[in-house]
Amino acid sequence: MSSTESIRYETDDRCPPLIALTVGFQGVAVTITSVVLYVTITVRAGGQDEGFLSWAVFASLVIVGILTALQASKIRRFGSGHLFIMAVTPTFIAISVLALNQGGPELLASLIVVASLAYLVLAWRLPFMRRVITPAVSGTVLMLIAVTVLPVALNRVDEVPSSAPDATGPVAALITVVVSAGMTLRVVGFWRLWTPLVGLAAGCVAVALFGGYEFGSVADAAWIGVPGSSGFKGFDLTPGADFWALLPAFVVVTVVGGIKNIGGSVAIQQVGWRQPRATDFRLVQGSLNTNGLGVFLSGIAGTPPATVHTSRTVQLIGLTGVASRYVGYAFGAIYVGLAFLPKLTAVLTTIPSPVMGAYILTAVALLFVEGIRTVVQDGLDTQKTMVVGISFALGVGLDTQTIFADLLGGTWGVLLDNGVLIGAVVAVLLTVFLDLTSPQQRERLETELDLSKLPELDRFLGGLASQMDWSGESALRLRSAGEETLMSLLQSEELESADDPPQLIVQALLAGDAVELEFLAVFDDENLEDRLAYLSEEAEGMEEGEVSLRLLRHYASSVHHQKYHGLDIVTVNVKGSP
Amino acid sequence: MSDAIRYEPDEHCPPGIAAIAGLQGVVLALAPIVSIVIVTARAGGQDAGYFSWALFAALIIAGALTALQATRFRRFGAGHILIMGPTPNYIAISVLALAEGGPELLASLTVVASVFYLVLAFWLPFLRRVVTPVVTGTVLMLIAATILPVALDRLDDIPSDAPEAAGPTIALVTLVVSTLLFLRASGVWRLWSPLIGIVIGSVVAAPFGAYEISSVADAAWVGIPKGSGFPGFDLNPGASFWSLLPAFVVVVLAGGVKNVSDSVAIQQVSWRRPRVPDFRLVQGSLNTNGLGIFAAGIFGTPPNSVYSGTSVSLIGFTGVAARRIGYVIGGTLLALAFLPKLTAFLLTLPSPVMVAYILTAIALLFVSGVRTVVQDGLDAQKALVVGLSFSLGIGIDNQTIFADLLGHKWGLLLDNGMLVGALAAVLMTVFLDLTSTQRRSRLEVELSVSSLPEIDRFLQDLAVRNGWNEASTQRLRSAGEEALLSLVQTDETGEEMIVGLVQSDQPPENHPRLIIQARPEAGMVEMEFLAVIDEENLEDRLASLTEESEGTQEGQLSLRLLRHYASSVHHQKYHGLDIVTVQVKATR
Repeated sequence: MSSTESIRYETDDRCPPLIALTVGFQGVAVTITSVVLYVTITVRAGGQDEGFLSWAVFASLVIVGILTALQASKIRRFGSGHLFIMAVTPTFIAISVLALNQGGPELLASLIVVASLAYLVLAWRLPFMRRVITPAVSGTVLMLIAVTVLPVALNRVDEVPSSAPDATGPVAALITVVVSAGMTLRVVGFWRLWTPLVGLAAGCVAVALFGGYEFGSVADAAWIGVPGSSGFKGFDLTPGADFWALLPAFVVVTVVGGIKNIGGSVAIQQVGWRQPRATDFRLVQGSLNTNGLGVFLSGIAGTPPATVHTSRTVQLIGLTGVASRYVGYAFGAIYVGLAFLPKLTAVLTTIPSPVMGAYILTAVALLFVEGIRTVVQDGLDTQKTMVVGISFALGVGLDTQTIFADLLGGTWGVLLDNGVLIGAVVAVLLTVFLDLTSPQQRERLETELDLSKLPELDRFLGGLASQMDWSGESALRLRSAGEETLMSLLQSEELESADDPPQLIVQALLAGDAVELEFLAVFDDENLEDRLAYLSEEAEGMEEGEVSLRLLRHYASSVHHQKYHGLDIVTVNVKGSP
Repeated sequence: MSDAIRYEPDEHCPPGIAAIAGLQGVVLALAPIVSIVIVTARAGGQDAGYFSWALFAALIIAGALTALQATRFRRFGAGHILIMGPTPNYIAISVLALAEGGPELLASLTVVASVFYLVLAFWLPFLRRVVTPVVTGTVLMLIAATILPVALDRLDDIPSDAPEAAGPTIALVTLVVSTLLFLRASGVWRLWSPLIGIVIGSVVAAPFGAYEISSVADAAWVGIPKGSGFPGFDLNPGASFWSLLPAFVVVVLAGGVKNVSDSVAIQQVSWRRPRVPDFRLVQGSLNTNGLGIFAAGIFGTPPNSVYSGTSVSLIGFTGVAARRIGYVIGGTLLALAFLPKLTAFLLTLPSPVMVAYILTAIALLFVSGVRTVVQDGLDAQKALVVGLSFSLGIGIDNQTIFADLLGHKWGLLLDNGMLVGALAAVLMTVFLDLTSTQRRSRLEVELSVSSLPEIDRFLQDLAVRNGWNEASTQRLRSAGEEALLSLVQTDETGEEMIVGLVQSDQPPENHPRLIIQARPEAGMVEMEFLAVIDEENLEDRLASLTEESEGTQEGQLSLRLLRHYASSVHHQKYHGLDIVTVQVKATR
């Protein structure tokens, strides 16, 4: 088992306040620019005024601060219990711009609030949603989002003051991209964290040299204060056609963002400790709930949604060695404090459009690659290839057409000509089709988690083996694996103190020469996968109760254990032959 | 071991079986050949005269090349079944060329690009470091993403009296049928799914009044197209030629790199016992492809490439990999070129049906790009190269930034997303290669045991420079020694024998040169031994060692030791060059 020796303060460690503040400031410094830029580009591309921009930046900073602090905590079902930076991401830019253009901040606010409910549903029904929103689906949507945002990012490359030469925009954008990319490709360690900022600075200097940098609004901004109330636009409480037309796109993008956040939450749990641990999916659900709350609050404020920023968090922990959740609290407090410094945010919003465009181009590039990684993470067989390819092709193809607008008219046409929505819906439909028409047979047994139910389980598994025409030896292996899984689950101390035995559901998926058994039980605290991993470190000796685990690992080709609130899932794969 | 292979490439299969398997291959290849030519011609705004000629020429070239691939004639031919024909990769740029300057421009561009292809085939061993999977995968994804909007433009290309909804409906039905069949049908039905989709789409088009079949009756059963279709050349290349040439070259080179893996794949599936890829056959296949692109240029038809998926599927279904099948497929395609009624029938296919078909083809092209970029893993640097190149390509493709700045001619060229994306990927890859913090070392010696002390000093210095400890240094030196001894062995009398010339019984009078290139990576050194050796493949010999139960022949000791010291050993053979790559891991 590998370990992360470079971690100086683990998630649960109390680190000195000065260290927490220093690392917190470092985190703020490398994220605040992207938060302000994404909000600015969304608001400007959406055709909104400076009053709304000031409000949106203020609200975003406050929300990011509060949510990052909440992620660090564990309050009821909220919080990941880890340092987990929240930020505004490019995921929502394209659809937010569309909403702002169609119905202004009021429509954007209503859509985000309603979409946040989908996020909470996802967090609640996560174990079951994963069969539909597979990596192929979410990866495809991420790639589609990237492709549809790119024109928005580059549309403003030539937006410089009329007194500046024509070449100002492209040259500044090119310098920003070249400096950022060059540094990212070759710089390592501490400086890598700062490459986006160095790129931005280089681009700004280029614009200034061309005489295209306008500082006027910085001088006018107050040092301390809150934006005027004119920025907050409220809600559209009478949703019209625009609302219904855009809602599916918002829901899909929000849910896909949620799926992506699951991966992020798992990753954060891996880097926050010296010794790797099996993932605690209750913390994942806590993180999702917090994200959902963040989307909801963004909706209330009428600003682009804030979600988790995994890569920045991992980089910060990796470079500083500090994973203590106190850094999360410090980070949150600093963010909230900065929201009340309008001069600072004014500096960031004066970054010229070509530089902003180039910066976002780099961020979107990484979003696209994340889509690729997601799509291939479980392998790409022939069917997944078709799902990904057709969904992406339809999404990109239709996004530039007005086929449905011509046929159906404005509102519904705009909806159906939206590439992200069409691509996502097609990917989901094809995945559901594959799931429903799967030649793989499913069997299910519902019983109690009790030793007296062993004969029932044994009969069930024996029946499965007969159905698949397995040999006596393979059938015995399957029955033994089932028995040992049950025995392992029965060794929980919590079970002994329970009045009634919990419910046990065994779902079997028969595919080719293998059976995948899913044992679902209400079972707390102890994680089977951790215990199995622990066994591999022992040199000798065997504690009572471990015999079942060893035997289980002997019979099964793989064993996985996932914990959710109120639900434990143990997945056991057994191979056999006729 | 593949027991499913009934006839290997070198075996003679009965003529009856060859005919049946060959006809299956023709059926599989015919639909893509025809549909790609028709889509390219129609999207490029060409008339029926050009289409008839282009299809005639495409069938002739595909037939001749498929037969040539089955042979090994000098430096041409893969020696395996490799079905050839026009591929979707070239549709985007071919359509652009046809739209900008007609078939003459397409012909000129294709001929010039084919020269680059042949250069790639010749310099393949050295281009591997620049035209990496990251670069080619990115280009494939960019081709797909930039052609998609164009592909859907012809959705409403239906007779004016047909309802407005006819186009989208016909395309949707075609797409749904072919996709669902592809997802759930198995075996041969999966291969037929696109064709079934086309048939059903055409049937749906009929009641909408979007299917006109009258022209089929007028066509002759046997004949050749009238000369009016032959486009000739544009011998005075103008701005359009120069602005499109870089894109053609990049796409042709990307196709060439992909064809390398196609040729390797066909070698993997054609034999009962897996073999190490013979890169001389890969080069033979590339030369044939290059010849095909050149011929396509001469005749003014879209460029050809290898149908690797179809070829692999055919062998998988029939179990017949005998090269005689290649001759049958080639001959049949040649014969079909002379049936104008077939061409006329295919011309009647409604545009929305073709749109759905092309959408599927581009979809698969995109995923093929995704697979290519991840095939060697995606670290942070490669991820940025892929993401930024793709983003720049897509972003720029929608803008007129350079056209506004530099004017129409060069601006048009630089606003081409495919070109910008490909150039960005190549430049970043070269940047990474040039600025690599690990210093590369090189040694050139005679391929002889007498060079051992010199090689030993070279490797020892390398280990010291990289801060390796004594044990690791020893392992590196030993691996180097054993790699050399594996290439140069001695007979009973103590005479040196170069491995490839063992069977000649005559030790060489002049030893070939050995070039060692060492590339230190994190905790590892990759050594490339470049030598001129023939016939016998070191990796094959290493693999065969695992099958021996006991006993060690003289000369095998070095191979065993090499495998012991090195974490991996790879041997690639090219015409005139052998490359043995040995990786040694270290502890500091």
